[in-house]
Amino acid sequence: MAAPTIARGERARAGAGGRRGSLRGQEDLAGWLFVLPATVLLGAFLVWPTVRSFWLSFTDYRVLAPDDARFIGVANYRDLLGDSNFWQAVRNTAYFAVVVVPVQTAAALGLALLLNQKIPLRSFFRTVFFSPVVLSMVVVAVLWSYFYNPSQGMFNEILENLGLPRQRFLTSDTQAMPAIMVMSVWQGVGFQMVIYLAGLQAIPQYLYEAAAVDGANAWQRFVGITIPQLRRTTFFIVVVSTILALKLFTQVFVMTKGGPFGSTRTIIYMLWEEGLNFRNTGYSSAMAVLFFLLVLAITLIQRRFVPQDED
Amino acid sequence: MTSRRNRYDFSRRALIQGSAAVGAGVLAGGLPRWSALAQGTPRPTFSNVELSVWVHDGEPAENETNQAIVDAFNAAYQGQIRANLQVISNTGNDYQNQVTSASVAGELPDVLDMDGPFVASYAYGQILRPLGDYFGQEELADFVPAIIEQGTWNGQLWALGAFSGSEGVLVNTELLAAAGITAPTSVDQAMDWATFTEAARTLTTDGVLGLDFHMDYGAGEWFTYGFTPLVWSNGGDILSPDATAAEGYMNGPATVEALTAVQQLFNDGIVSPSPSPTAFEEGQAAMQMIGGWVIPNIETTYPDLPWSIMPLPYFKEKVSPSGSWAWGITSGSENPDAAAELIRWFLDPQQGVAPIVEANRLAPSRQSAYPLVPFYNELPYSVYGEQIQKTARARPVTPGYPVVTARFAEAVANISLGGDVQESLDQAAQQVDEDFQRNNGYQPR
Repeated sequence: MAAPTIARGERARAGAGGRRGSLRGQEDLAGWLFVLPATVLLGAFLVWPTVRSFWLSFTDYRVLAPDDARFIGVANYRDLLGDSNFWQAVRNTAYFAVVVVPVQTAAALGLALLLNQKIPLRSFFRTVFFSPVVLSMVVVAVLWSYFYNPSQGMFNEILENLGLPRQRFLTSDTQAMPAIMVMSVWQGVGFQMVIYLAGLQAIPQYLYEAAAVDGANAWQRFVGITIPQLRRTTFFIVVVSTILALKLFTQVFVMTKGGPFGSTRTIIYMLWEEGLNFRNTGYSSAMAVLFFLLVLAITLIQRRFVPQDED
Repeated sequence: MTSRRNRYDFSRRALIQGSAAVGAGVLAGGLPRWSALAQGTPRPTFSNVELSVWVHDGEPAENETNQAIVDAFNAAYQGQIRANLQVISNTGNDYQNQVTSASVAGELPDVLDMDGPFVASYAYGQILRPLGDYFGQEELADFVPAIIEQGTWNGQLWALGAFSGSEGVLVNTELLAAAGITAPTSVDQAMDWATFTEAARTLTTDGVLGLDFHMDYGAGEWFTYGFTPLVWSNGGDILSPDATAAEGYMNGPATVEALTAVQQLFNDGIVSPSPSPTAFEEGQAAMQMIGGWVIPNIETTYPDLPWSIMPLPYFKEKVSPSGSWAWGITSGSENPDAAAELIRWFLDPQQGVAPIVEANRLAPSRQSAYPLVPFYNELPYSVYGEQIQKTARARPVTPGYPVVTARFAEAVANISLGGDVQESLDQAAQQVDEDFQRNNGYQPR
C-alpha cells in the first residue's frame, strides 16, 4: 500500500517543477516492488524447482544418498525410452485423454445447452451437476470403488436387475480404464458446464433473432451461431481438460494402483512411483521433463486451431 | 566394550527390578553397583541431557501410552535425562518424507521410530548409529530372532522394536462346526496346505467364501506381508539371501509353485479377488487370512460374531511374517548414550513392552515380556505370540524394499486376477533388478 502513495507524492512534486528522471525512477521502483512478492514466490516455488528438475534429470540423484549424485548425461532418458512401463504409461495416458477430453467437452456443452433453457428448477439442476466438482477426488474415487465392486457393488446390482451380465470393472484390464474415465467425466463435467454456461450467456441475442428472421432452424442456429461464438470458450475448455487428463493420478492411486496388469498406470502415477516411492529422483525428473515437453507440444498444437487474430 | 555393555546391563536390571529377565549378567557385572542403583543412587553419567524423540502417529491409545512411557522415563531420570516426545504424522508417505527432509536439513531427533521395512534405507542413508555398542549379545538373546533380523543390515544392528505384527487365519467357528472342521490353536498342529485348502473348499457354499485374503486392500504392503510366508514355507523367497537380486528368487520355481497353488483358490472361486471389506465380519467368508489389526474392530463392531483363530497353514516349513515399528539412534545425536538409555526403557519388558502391547495388541518382541502380558497367553493372541517366537521371519532387509514390495504386490494382484504366474513374477523380478542396477544393488556406501 505504501508504494502508490509515494508515487502519487512524487507526481505532485514533479508537477510543481520536480525532476522527471527521478519520477521515472520512483515509478520503476514502485513497479518492481509490486511484482516482487509474486516474482519471489514463483521463482522459489515454480521456476527454481523446474530448473532443478531439468538439472536433476541428467544426474543419478537419489534422496537416500544425495551426496553420491553424479552427472550421467542422458542415461536416464535412454533408460526411460527403453522402459516398457513408461511406454505403457504413455499409451494409457493418451487413451484416457483422447477419450475423456472430447466426451467431457461434448457432455459439458450438452448440459450447458439444456440448463441454459428456461426450464423449471434450473438453478437446482445446475447445482446438482456442479456438485461433484466441489467434492474431493479422493472421496469420489473411494465411493466409486465401492460402486464398481464386482461382487457387492451398486453397478453390478443394477446390471443384474436389468437382466444384464455382471462386469468385472476395476479388476479387468480392459474395463478398468473405461471405468475410471466414466467416473472422471462425471466428476469433472460440471466445471466445464459452468464455463460453457457463461459462454452461452455472452452470445448476443440479436444474432439468434436475425437468424430466426432469415428462417434458420434450431440446428442451423446451433451450428452457425452457437458453435462459432463459443470457439474461444471451447479452446479454453479443451486445453484445460487436456492438461488435467494428462495429469491423471488420484483416481488411479486410490482405485487401482496402476493395475490390473498395468492397464491404468499413467505417466504421473509412474512418476510418483519412481520419484516418491522408489526414491529414484533423477529418473523421475527425466520423466517430469518429458511430460513437460509433451504437454507443451500438445498445447502449442492446440493453439494452431485458434485464429491468431482473436488472441 | 565389555565394561560399557555391563554398565547398561545394570541399569536395565535396576529398572526391571527383579523381573524374570534377571540372569547371569548380574553376576558378571558385579552385584554391588547394581544394588546401589536399585536403591536409587543417582547415576553419575547424565546431567540435564535433553533428548528429542520422534514416534509415528498411531491409534489414540498407542499415542497416550508412548507419552506415559516417556513420562515415566523422565521421572526416573529426573535431573539426568529429559526426553521430549513428538508425534509425527503417518498418513501415506508422511513419516518417511519427514525423516528424509529432516535428514537433509539436519533436524533429525536423537531417537527415531522407524517402520521395519525402512530401517535399511535409513542405515544406507547414514542417518543411524549402530545399536551394537549399546546392546550386548545376552541382552539381545531375549529378543525374538525376527526382530533382530528386521533391524540388521550390512552386518550391523540399527533398530530394535518392542513389538511385532503377525498373521493368522481367523475362522468363523459356527461355519466350521457345521462343516465338521476343527481349527488348530497351536503352531504344532497347524494345517498343511492340502488340509487347509480342502477345508476352505468344503466351507465354500453359495453366498459364503471358504477363505478371504482381504484382496480389497489393493496391491500394497499387505500382499507382500501376507503372501511371502507362503513362498518361504514352500522353500522359495522373493530376493536372494544377500538381498541384491530378485531374478531366480521372486520368479524362482518354489515361488511360482506356491503362488500357483494360491491362484488355484481364486480360480476355483474359494477366494475372491475383490471381496467386500467386511466379508468375514458379515459371515460371508468362513475363514480369513489376516493380521491381528482387524481384531479390535471385530471385538467392538461385531461382538456377536463367533470366531477364533488358527496359525498360518504351511507348505513345507512353518513360517510366519513379522515386523513393525522399531527404535534407533540417529547418527547426528549428540547424546547417543542417553538415547540408548531411552530406547532400553522403551524395550524394557515392564516399563515399555507390556504397556505398549496392552495398547496396540501387537506381539511382544521379547520372550521375557510374555509373562507380563496375560492376554498373549490366551486365544486369539496366543497364536500370534507363538508364531512370533517360533516361526517368524523378517521381510527382506534392503534399502530397495519399496520397489521389491511394490513389484511383488503387483504380481500377486495380477495372479489373483488370473494372470500367468510365471510371467507376472518374471516381469516383477526383472523390474526389481532394473531398479537395483540403477542403484548399484543398494550396496553399502
